[in-house]
Amino acid sequence: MERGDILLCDLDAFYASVEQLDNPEIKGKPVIVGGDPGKRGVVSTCSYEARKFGVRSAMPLMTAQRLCPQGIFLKVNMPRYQEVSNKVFDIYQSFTPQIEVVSIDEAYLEVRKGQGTEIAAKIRKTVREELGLTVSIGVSSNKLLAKIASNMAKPDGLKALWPDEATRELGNCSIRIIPGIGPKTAERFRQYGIKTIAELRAQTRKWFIRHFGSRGEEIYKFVNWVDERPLVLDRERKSIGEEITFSEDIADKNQLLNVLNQISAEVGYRLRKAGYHARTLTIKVRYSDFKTTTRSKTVENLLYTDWDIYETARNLFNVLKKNKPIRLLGIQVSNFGKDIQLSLFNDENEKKARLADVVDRLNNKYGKRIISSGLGLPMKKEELR
Amino acid sequence: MKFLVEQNELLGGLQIVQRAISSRSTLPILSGIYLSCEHNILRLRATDLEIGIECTIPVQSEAEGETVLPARYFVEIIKKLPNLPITIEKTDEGIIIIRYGSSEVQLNAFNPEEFPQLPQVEEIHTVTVNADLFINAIKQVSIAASHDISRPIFTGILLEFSDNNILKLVATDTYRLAYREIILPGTLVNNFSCIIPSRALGEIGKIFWSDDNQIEISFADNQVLFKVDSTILVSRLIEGQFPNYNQVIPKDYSSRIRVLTKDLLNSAERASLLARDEFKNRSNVIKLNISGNNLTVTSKSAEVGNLHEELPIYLEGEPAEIAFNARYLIDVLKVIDQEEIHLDLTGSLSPGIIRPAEDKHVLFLVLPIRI
Repeated sequence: MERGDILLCDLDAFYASVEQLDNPEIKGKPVIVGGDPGKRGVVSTCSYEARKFGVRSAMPLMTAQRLCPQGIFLKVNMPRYQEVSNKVFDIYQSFTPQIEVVSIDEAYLEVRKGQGTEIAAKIRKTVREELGLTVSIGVSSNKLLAKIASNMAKPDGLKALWPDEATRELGNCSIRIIPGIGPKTAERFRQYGIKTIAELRAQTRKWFIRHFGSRGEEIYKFVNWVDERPLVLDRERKSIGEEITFSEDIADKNQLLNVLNQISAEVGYRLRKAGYHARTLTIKVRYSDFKTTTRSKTVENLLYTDWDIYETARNLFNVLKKNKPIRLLGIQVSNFGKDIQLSLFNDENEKKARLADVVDRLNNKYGKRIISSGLGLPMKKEELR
Repeated sequence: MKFLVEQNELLGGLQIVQRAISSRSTLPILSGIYLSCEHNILRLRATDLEIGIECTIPVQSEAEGETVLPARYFVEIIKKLPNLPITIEKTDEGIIIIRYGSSEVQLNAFNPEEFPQLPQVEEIHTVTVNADLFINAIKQVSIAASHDISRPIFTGILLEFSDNNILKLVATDTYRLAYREIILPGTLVNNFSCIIPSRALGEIGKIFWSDDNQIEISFADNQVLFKVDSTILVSRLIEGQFPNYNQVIPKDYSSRIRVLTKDLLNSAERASLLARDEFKNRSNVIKLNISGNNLTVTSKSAEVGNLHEELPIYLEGEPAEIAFNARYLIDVLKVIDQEEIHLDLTGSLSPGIIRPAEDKHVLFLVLPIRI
């Protein structure tokens, strides 16, 4: 089958935009979603107004407050974001069934060849008119260029970028625009005198493989605008995961646990929404030197609540070496089942599962965060002090 | 140390004490078997510090002494010798020479002084049980014990002595529960209970025989000792409170079926073949549908296929529908030696109760799967 056009649809500053939508008074103001700056925690999303002050995702809330003292700090209200996200995905669905969900606010869509730009414009219009949100869309013939294009389109834009134009258009851009080339890899290329896409394209395939191994080969393909990755459609999905790459590497253990906590809540919500229990949890840690480690555990009692997920993830995380700062953290749950083995003497677990369901349902129904529990998870007494 | 022993006598003793050796022990000396020879008696001992087994065998001793030999090599060598007298001697350097016919094996030994003593059991209660009954009860109850060491209580079997000379044995991994009672002859002094690691009790069935007649059990604060003739097994007890099992055993039922044990077992085993989910772990769901005098067993696997069986039953009460982990049903049905069982149900989310139709002393709970 001939491949169609690929759209990467990315909702702009999604959590913050939903908050501004629900509460018009904070529209146009620097909104920082993550939690109370007095407590430990990190920024999940911030509005473009806050970004002007230098606030970034995964930054400690205290730092964010220092940079942006007038910022409006809000707790993460995942059920509400999921509810809005569902509406957005319904709109996507009305244009094409070929959808790969990347995260709550990001998706790849495949549409018939030649119709990409037209459909992207319609999607942006529909989302704005029906939901009052802005979505930036990159259009191309593969995922790579669609992603690069969407980054160029942001905020609130539409950008088509075809392979035959990409070289000319991106030649003077930093190599950082290639997904997967972060500050550390960029630094290594700089040592060979390479800063721009044009300079990178001047290298041979052999050169890439000699200096960067298998990753080098991937970058070589990317920089020649070759990307054959197909869309992973939702019904083929065998896992639910989230990962965050930090704007700056993090070494502080408490801050990392807070991030893990936030990811757990997001993964948990999506897991319950899909109607699944998971048997296996995998955490992914990428260190400042790009070494990436994963650790998995298959549990006896199925994972269901945010707390189950966080506990399991934390136990795996705690045994990892943390002698280097960390640049990426992720959690993935897999091995889904719907059948639950009932048990004796385990009232606690049953109660927690029922509580999670009720909280999800209430938050879904009333939209607002009528129920939230601190960071979403029980804390030890000493942590509350 | 020097003695003469019959190969089969020695091998018998070694195979008993060897059961206490754990492959997971971190102390090298615990991979050894302790031997001590005195007055024509050879004492053998092994332990992993959780359980210890000791037994004696008759020998002709020429010189007293003690040693510790690596079990892996010692037992294998003795096993491969013909059934003839063997001389075992310790040299001044502490090396052990095993002589048979005109041949010999030399083995390096551990220092016997470093080998742990078995704990002294200062008994508070002593009871005597019929070996056959006790070993059979352990076999039935231990199927429900957990192997998950993160919750130690559930890896043990509760022994509860109560009025009217009844010994109750209970085990549960929270997904199923097994209960068995034994009437003890004679009068007991006190009611008391303790939790014994199911591994220790499992070994009882292997080192003692049902024709051993009587097993003497002595309980101390944190140890228990089992004794038949000169063979003893000492185990630590599991500390903690066993959950209130009486509370979770349903007193009523809305449906009772009577079915041939073999029929249901064979059907469950076939159904289980087609109940593996794609990941081959847990679940193993089979469905039972009870209506009229018919039990329908079904299972399906997305990749393999599905199964549908009909069994004749006798139903008293309402029709019912329930799903179980096939393995849990099979485990129970395999240890029931009577021709027929009762399966009592109350809705699809309450425990199923299985008991032999003609035996009031044993009962199994199996928790269903919510599908």
